[in-house]
Amino acid sequence: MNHPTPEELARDALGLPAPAPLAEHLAACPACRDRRDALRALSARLADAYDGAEAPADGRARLLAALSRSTAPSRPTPPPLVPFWKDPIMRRRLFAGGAAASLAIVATALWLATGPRPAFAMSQVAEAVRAARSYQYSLTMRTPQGAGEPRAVMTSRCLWLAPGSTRCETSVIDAEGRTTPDMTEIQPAGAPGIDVYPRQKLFARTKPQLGRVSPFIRVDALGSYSGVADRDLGEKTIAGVRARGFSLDPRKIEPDMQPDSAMEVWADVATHRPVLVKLTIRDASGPMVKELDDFRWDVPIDPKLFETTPPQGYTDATPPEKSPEEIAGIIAASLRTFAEFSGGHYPRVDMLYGDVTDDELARLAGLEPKPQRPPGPDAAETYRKFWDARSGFGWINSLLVDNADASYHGKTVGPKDADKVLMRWRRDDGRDQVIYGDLRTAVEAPDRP
Amino acid sequence: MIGNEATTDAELVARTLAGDREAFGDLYDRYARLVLAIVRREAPGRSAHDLTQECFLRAYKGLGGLQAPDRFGAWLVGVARRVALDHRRSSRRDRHRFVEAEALDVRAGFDRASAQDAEELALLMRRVAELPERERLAIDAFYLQDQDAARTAELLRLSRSGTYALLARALARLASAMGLDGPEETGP
Repeated sequence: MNHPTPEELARDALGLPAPAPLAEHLAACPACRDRRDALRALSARLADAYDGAEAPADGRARLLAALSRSTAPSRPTPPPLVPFWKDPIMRRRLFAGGAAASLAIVATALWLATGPRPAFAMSQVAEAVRAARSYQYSLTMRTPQGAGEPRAVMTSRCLWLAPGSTRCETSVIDAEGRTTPDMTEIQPAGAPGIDVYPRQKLFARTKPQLGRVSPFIRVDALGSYSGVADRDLGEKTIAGVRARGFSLDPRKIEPDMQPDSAMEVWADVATHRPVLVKLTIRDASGPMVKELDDFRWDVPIDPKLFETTPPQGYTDATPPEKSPEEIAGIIAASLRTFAEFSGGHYPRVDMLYGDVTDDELARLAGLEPKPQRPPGPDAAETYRKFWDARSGFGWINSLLVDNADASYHGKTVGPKDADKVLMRWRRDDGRDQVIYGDLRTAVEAPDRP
Repeated sequence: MIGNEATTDAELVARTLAGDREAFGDLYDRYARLVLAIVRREAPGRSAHDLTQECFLRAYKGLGGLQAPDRFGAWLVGVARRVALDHRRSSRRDRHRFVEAEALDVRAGFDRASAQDAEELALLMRRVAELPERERLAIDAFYLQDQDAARTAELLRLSRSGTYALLARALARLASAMGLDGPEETGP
């Protein structure tokens, strides 16, 4: 080769990857070797100079003193690196979206649990749940604590008012058992809602939930589910009420849920209304238990509780809107990553849950469950892809929840189906945002098949 | 921060958000030298130590808005550049005086080196200060991150190949400015 340029020599001097002919040339050309060595020496001098550059000795102490006078940083939604039950998607699913859905779960579960037992008059129970004009219940979430027993980490009081307005006030519980109000989620039926964060004095506007929070919520579709209780748990007294319990596999109700989940439903033998519902979700972090109890039926609920005016003095922390094109791009990139690691298919579900799909992708990519850091330099790129893909799955879930016209067809459409619609949703401008099987995105008139 | 490298930036960010200020102190230890180098160059004439404090305070207050905590370093570099730019914009003083002040400041930092050595290092750092902004940022990040080019790429939000090219160009330019490049040779 010709003599290398100074920049090529600098590459070598810096120890950066350089083309093989450069090494050959250097081996044969003393002049270039000298120039390279001079650059190396210069680099070493720079390293010396920077090595001598100390951070101010009292800098950290000064900073910490200033921080103690400053307001603590806060974020309107939990950071991505938190236990999965704090994951925004998970929370919506288990708490807020769940406010209405949970009772539908109960209705479905009871129907399933007791369908074949006419003596229990189950159809009347499901009917009673569906006929309720309002209800309230407490929801407690327990999560595993290392190797120890699961501990209650969150508790909510949830209200539901026909035709489907929900309000959930959630508190976090610390290791000493102290509860601190954490957030209030208000979602009026078919209208925009609000999340309020009292600790940070922030609020965020939420979209109307017009899509499928989960199949449970479609009470009119109850009849389309099939299955029976796996086990009759007998009768016992719960909070002074005689109740009969059943256990069943919740995947009979929601096929896209984590495997190995379990559900117990205890209903009042006299009124057939649920008294206690226990849902155990097992995933990579261990079993998480969600308990619904302290039910109150058809008690008056002030409609003002579903108003979405932010409290005085609170700051608006609603995240900026992303354009449909931008969202389509994020989703397509995530699905591309998924197909890459799955050997050529997209998540094969009807309802996509961020946490479930994250777990599956981690497994496909050969990462540890819920990886928190790159497992090593050679897997850093895999980890980065996994990390980046998560937001797309979150978007798919949000769109399916918020958008009545959203659909996702990962079960039937794969990367080779260039002309089949993989995902579609209605944009605010009335047109449809479409992602095809080959991940091409398009904007189309809504009536195109 | 020897012995603390196993803790990721993302973990420190999460702990800070959970109310642990010492975790943010650890992030300070990790990045203070780089931030100091950036503000010193980009806003010469200002107290670099005060500006460094300001950067970290701003980062602390804005930490809640950080979308990808594992990219804290790159984000902080952005914060430092904005802080420096704000101060440079508001500054109307003569640029030459900044360079002089800068040289003195740098020399004061090298008390471990001998006087002659310090003189020479100060000259070298002045040449670094004269590099185009992207190149000098690359040099700062590279030498303050244990000459880890991959890490430098992350901090600069550039591709690795782009970062390599930037570093090589910067070093070649420095060599030329220091009179180290011999006559350009052509032919085999």
